[in-house]
Amino acid sequence: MCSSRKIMSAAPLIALSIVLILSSTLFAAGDMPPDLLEKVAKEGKKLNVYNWGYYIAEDTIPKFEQEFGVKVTYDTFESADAMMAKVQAGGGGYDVVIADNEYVQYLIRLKKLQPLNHKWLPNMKNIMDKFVNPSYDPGNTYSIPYLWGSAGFVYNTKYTKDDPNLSDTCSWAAILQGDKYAGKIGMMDSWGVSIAAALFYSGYSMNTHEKAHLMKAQEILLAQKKNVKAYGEVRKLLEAEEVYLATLWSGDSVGVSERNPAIKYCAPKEGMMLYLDNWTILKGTERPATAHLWMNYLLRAKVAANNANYVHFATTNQAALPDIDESDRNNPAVYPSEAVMKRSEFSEAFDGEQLTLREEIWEIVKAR
Amino acid sequence: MNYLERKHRFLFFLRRHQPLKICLILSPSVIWVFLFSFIPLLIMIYHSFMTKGPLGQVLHIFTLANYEKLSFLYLGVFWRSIRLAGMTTFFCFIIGYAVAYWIAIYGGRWKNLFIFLIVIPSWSSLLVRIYAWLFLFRDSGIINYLLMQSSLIDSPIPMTFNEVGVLGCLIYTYLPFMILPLYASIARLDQSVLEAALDLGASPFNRLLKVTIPLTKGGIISGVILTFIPAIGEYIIPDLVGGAKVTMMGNLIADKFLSFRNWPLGSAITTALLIIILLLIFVYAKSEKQSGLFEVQES
Repeated sequence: MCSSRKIMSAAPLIALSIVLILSSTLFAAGDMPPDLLEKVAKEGKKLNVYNWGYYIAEDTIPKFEQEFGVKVTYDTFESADAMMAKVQAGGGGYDVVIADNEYVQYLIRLKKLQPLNHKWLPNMKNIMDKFVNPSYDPGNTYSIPYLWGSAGFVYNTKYTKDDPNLSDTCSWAAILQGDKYAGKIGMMDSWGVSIAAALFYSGYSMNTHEKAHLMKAQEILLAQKKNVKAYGEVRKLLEAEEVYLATLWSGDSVGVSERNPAIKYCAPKEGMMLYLDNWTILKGTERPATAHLWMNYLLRAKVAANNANYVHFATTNQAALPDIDESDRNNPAVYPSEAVMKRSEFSEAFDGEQLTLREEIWEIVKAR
Repeated sequence: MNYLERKHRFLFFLRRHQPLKICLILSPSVIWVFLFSFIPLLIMIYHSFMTKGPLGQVLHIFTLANYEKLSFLYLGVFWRSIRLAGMTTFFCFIIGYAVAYWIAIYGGRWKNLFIFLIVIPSWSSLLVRIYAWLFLFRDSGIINYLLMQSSLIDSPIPMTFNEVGVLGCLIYTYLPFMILPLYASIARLDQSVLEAALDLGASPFNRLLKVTIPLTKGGIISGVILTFIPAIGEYIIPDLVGGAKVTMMGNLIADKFLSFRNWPLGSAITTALLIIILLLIFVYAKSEKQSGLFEVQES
């Protein structure tokens, strides 16, 4: 008697929760095509994701797993080349992989990507026009955009007062030229960012194919080396105030500035390197539908806004803009001014001789 | 034929065929070394003769171009590696010999405790120890802070992100590898020989040079090899303590593999380095052979 009464009293609660769960999946999954969900069910409800470290909101994956009952195995990498090495060696069993504008091109040309089925990606309508149909992947055949950012530099206003190069329109000159901050300069250990900075500062395109332009960049970086405290570890050095200036990714600068408000981001007037990260599906995946489900989920306005707010990089999602934190939306580090954007560039995928030239420059800068 | 009989037959068979017995006993370690050391080495040497594709893939086309690229730039880096590894070995030897000698001769019943204390730091990860080193010696580190507070210096002494810092951390890291073999050979010294040297009129310094050091040469050679070889290929210390500015061979090779996906060139540099080190050891072994030092350690 007693137990049956308990069940009786619990019955409405159970019924209510079933209705709630059903309705939440029904309403929330309204943006997912029914045939996609059918296929997902057949694929075993598993997904292997390979992303940059610290590049997604903490609750995105649990919420995705909860909503669709898909078990996500999540791995991260710290270097795009490490990711490439793994993919080239056979994929590591990943279904979806993130790649920036440059590496998407390598992956496409190495025939490692699976063409997308846009019928399964209705949320692509949320993406800003300027990020749809990019030159590196016409028609978004293989990739969908995620977040974008820039590589400028940060400076500590406590030690750089009254520097004309660090006023409202700041310049690469502050970090690349002169001995004013000798021993107080940090550089990310990245040949792409460093060579691009020197090229922009010399007034050339970062995608130049002219050897003379690149030699000028080498000269600048070599002259700068004696003033550089260290290549890499810049965030630690900035926080300890052992360096006053350092190249840094835009999103990372937000965290650094939060901990030390004296540190400001500079989007240099000469222009800077931009990058755009994209989600791709590896060829040969056994779970193409689940991979599309993941992509379409990340394209949702609320999910995209949540991710952007968490990692402080700029969103490509038009519909997410109203939900982006005010502090990020008005932060020139995250969304740089039109004037700077006009001069900034996305990196092309260097290959053959162009890549070798850049490899030799970086080798000389580091080894001498 | 029951089990025991079969076992006896097998053992008898082995007794008559000694080489086969040795092969069987050694096979696990031989297979291990072959699979995980020898074959990877061959794969690397193979890659060093392959062509790098335009997208950074390895094309299986024979070429010598990777070896042609080995230039004077690499020679400079190689010289820096040799210099730093050589200085590390030298300082480790000077410090290590004194410490090992003191523990072996004067350690008394605390000997084992001292050796234990030397080994303990290696129980934590090298990375942790390097960051601890940085915390101590960086510009805003504890040592510079204390020196500044006591107004002994006005501005911090740069002890990291330069060659001196890298050398210091290398010596710190490799010191136990020098002390342990030295201690083993000094502890085995016959005390009466040392006393005899003094009785026959040798000064303490002369005794050290003419008796103690020659008698412990075996330990010295193992210590030198255990320090010099890993130090020359060191990667993580120049990267973190040197701020990736003090480039050693290890960093050059890592950049080829991790930043430029140029596996063939990276393999070629590694192979060249390997050959040079082998040659150095070979020449050294040859010049020492007359004195029989590469034989079993004398006691």
